[in-house]
Amino acid sequence: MNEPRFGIRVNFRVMSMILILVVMWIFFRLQVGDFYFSGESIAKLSRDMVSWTILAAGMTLVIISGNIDLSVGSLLSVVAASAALMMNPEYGPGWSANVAVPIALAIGTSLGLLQGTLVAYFRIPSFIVTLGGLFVFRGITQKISEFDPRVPADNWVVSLGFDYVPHETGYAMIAAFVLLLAGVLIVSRRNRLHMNLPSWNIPALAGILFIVAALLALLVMKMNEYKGIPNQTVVMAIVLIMLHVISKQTTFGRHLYAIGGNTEAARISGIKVERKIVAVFALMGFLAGVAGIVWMAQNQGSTKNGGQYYELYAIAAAIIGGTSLMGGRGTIFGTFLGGLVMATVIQGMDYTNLENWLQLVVRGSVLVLAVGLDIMAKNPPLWARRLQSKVWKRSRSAS
Amino acid sequence: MAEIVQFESVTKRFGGTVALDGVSFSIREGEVHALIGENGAGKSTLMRILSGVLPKDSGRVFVGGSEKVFRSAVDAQREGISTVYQEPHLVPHMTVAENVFLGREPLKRFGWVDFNTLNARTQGILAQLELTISPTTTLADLSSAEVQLVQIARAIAFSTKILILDEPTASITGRETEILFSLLKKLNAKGLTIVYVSHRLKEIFELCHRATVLRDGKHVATVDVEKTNEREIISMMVGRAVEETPSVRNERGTGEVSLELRDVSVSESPVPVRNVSLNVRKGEIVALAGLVGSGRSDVAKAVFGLNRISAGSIHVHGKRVDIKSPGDAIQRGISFVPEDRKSEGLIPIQSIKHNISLTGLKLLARLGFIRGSSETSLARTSSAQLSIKSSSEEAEVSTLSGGNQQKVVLAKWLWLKPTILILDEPTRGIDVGAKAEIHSLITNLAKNDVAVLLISSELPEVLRLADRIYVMRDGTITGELQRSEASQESIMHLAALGKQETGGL
Repeated sequence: MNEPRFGIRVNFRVMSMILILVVMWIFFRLQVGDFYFSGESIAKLSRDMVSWTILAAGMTLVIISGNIDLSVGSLLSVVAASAALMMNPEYGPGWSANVAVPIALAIGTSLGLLQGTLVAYFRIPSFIVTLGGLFVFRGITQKISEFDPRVPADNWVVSLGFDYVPHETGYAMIAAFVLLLAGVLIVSRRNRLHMNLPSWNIPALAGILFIVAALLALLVMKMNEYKGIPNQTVVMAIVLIMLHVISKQTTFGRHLYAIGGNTEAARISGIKVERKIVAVFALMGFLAGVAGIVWMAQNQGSTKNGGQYYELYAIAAAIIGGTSLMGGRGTIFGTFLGGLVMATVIQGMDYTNLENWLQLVVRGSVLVLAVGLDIMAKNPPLWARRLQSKVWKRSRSAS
Repeated sequence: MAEIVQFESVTKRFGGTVALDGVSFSIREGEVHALIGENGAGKSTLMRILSGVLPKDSGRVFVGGSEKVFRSAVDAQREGISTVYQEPHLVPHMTVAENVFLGREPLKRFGWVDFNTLNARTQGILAQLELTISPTTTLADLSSAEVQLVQIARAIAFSTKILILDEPTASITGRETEILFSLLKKLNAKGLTIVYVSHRLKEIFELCHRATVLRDGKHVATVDVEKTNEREIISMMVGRAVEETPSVRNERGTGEVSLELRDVSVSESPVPVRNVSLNVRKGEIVALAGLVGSGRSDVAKAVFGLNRISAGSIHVHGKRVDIKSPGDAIQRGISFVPEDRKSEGLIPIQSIKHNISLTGLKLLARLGFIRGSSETSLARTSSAQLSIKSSSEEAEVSTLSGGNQQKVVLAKWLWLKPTILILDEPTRGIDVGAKAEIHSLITNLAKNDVAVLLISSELPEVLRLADRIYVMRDGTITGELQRSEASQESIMHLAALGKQETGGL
């Protein structure tokens, strides 16, 4: 076999998603005009995707383990509503965020834990448990959020939704991230070559680092022209990086892949399957809590219908990003790209003033199209292969 | 005899690998033709081309004298070619009759299924085969051998001229094999041409007229079975003369008892286990023989913490232990190679490396973070020790041949350096070469003081490897045989009848 171009084989799904993104960006730029690439537009894109991309990242781990969590949208709203109520002086006790936020996160985590227990130890399929959770938690939200409590604006947590990172700090963060990435890539390349494993060749490695660094610098520069990097975007970045590391580098992450790949084999290999399932649902509950706090900060309070349909956005982002609903396959990076695709579609359509009903039609079509293209490329059904060979023959005989 | 199928330089590539390389030979009408070769030799690929499942790249296939190009299995069936696959391609929750007529049900008006005709016709087919299975039994209630027979009923239900059988005896026991063979002989006597794909040479000598040997996708020879012998065929399969594996096991294992079961009963397992007592000494290979469904695997799973014992006790190195989970068992130095590598042994969509490390990820991690280099070198060493053939240790396990997959399962359990090793059918469905390698591996482990409990349905394997043999039947041990007193007959007697042979012949 000949040497691949970049030293290693490049993931088809990642490349095709990046291509889809670029095409969409160019398309919307042409439709919307100068504003589309402005700092404000970029900052808002990165901000609006935060809550459901955090959900999508947790969802990725849940799906990898062979389960699903349909309750995350409602879970997000329970946490948002209870945090808002705790901080509201009028309808609630008016506690400070230092007390209310940890309690709210604990609520999210324990609800996740409860669902995980029902799935793992009572053997109720996760689809059923969390479908139930979707309704139950929504109901509870409607009670807690009876008067749609607002959060006093002097609470630090509100700045999470409205404030921006100072300009210099923004650059420093980007620099730190790029250095970290460079370090990780170089060390892993050295280790892999040391073990005679294929790895990026130097030009590809330098190319990636250069593109990432230039792109991020450009983005921050643009966002600084507006107000800077939104605080929430930083929260999302931290969550994504942490989950990426958990999924790839820890025994817990590997166990989740194993359970989703073949539960029986995982059990026989000594993995405590039930405990891991409970843990992944608890983690999902915690992340739904984080997303809920961010959502609450952004809205300065809660509403009865907060986070509705977010479970579907989260699942869509994970699936577009290459997570297999059969379990055992998926990456956090892919989910991030999937989230970006969803966010781009949603924001772009808002800017082009597409009617609401049509927006929903487009969102759904993008999901089916993105996954469909990938399947057609990797494992085409028989009729597609036949069609392909026919077209192939005709074009050959024509030339 | 006329030639019913002719292959003319049939070639098939999968990506870079050549699965079939200009294969030419013919099958005569009315014969039982064996197709043999190691795993990856191209037998299955060739049969899939003949049954229309795979297209060929080049070459020609003649059926009944004229060239045929099959685009699908339905095309092949129209020409009278039916296939019985190794793994049942049937629906477990439907009845025998529904399965036999699946996809071609007799209909009444408005497209309703005519169940009366369906059952009556199935009854007819089963009677013709002299089978006593009821057409209305649900398939899930049948044994795997009976399912195999239903598959054959399905295959010959519709004017079949050529019946292809792919490893039909892989999951059934000796006695069931006899039933299958007498059925095949009957069908053949009525004029049915049979193509028989198998690893098991004994079966070929019992059943087949001619045999074709494939090696690395090439046709080696087509021979009359009467004019050849096992050794000649093996050397054709592996491409060199092979010494018959010597059965030189010295009486060993006089040391301490590593694993002991005292009156163990398991009520929750599929086959309830009653009052099983056995022991395995350090450095000893002890076989647990018996027919499929005699409770052998259930005993193994109880030792490994997959089934809870309801009575009795398990002792490891002299200490009574309470093993609640596979994790507990692993900690006590027990490794368990399960029966079904696809559903229990491996995670097929993961790499060789990740499969091997899975059993002891904690040992390779610091503070929960896996050290990639330790993991890779582990996979390297294991692959080299067991000579796992693959492009790299990052290759997906599902792309490997059966023999190599089984070696990966062994690797994931052996690097833990167990003191007690339980092997459940360690050589099922793998080729002669890999089998010999695994046999010598097991012997070496015993030499290095590992206590081995071997479960196997293959009596030659049991007789070759074991120092002592326990025989099980209906969830209980019916006898213990020393190596010197064991023979195929004495084991079968205990396994089938449950009592020791008395008196001479």
